[in-house]
Amino acid sequence: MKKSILTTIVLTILGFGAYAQSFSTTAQHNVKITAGSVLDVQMTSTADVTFNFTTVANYTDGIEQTNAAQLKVQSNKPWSLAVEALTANFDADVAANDTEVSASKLEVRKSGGTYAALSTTQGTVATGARGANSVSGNTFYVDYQLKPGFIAADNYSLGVRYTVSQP
Amino acid sequence: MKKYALTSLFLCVFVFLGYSQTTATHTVRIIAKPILELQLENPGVTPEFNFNTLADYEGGIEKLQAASLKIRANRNWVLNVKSGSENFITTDNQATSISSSVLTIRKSGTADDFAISSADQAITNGSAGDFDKNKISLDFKANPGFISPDSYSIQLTYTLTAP
Repeated sequence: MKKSILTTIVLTILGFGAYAQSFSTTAQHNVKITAGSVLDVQMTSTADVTFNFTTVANYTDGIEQTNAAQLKVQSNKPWSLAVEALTANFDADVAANDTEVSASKLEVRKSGGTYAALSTTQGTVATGARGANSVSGNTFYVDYQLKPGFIAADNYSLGVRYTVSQP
Repeated sequence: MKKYALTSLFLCVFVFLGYSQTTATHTVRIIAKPILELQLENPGVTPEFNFNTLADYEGGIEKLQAASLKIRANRNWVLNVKSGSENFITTDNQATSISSSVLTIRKSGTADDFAISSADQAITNGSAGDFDKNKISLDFKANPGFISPDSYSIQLTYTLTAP
């Protein structure tokens, strides 16, 4: 009888020991991300950039406008930003004004870079890396320099377009 | 005659008493072994995030109740989750490396987000009960930033433990 009781106690302890052990089971699945291409360029301000020629020095030396516009690019691939003039010449307000001010009189550069004359053919003004506009190099300014010479007094305008692409 | 009658009465009483004191007993035992079961409600479904717009990349994509799990156990339990790798795996071998931590997970209806890693993290717990008591929905959010165009995947393993 004594042996029987001892056996029962031992079995009970063994059983409790097995019960007290932690155990586990698992389940699995995959999570998928499908990333399409995105590309965007924005101007902080689309207000006109105005050059006021009022002095002889203005006409002689031209006028430079640094930080004339701020551009913000977002892309999930490396990108390239091109600039072009929408027309070959500035448009004069006065119809009778036959002064031709070529778009090439306006020069553009990424701030800190080298000026290049504008034309109706796209020219690269900046390149950058994949990322949001918070990534270094994806938000920047462009400078303009305009040297039209002694043009007739009038108001002239030119459309300038920036195009970002993923080469 | 009187003596016979007394003897018979005594025997009858003795026999009656003998019947009334006879018992038989046994013990009914229940052996309850620990059980623990975890199932995905839709095991063949892969939660998928499609990034197509700037807003997707800027703010990430959230999928409410992206996965559901059901549990039955006869002990208190803890649900853990981990990824099978430290980074998402690309199908086109792009250079972009996406950490598993861009994927966050939480039990639906709660505010505790867990960034996925390759180490187990306890995301919720519960008590003994059948599937009808222990159903859990999970919300996912992927916010990888401006990753290169490609397909990326990562394996999640849910581990149910009974501490």
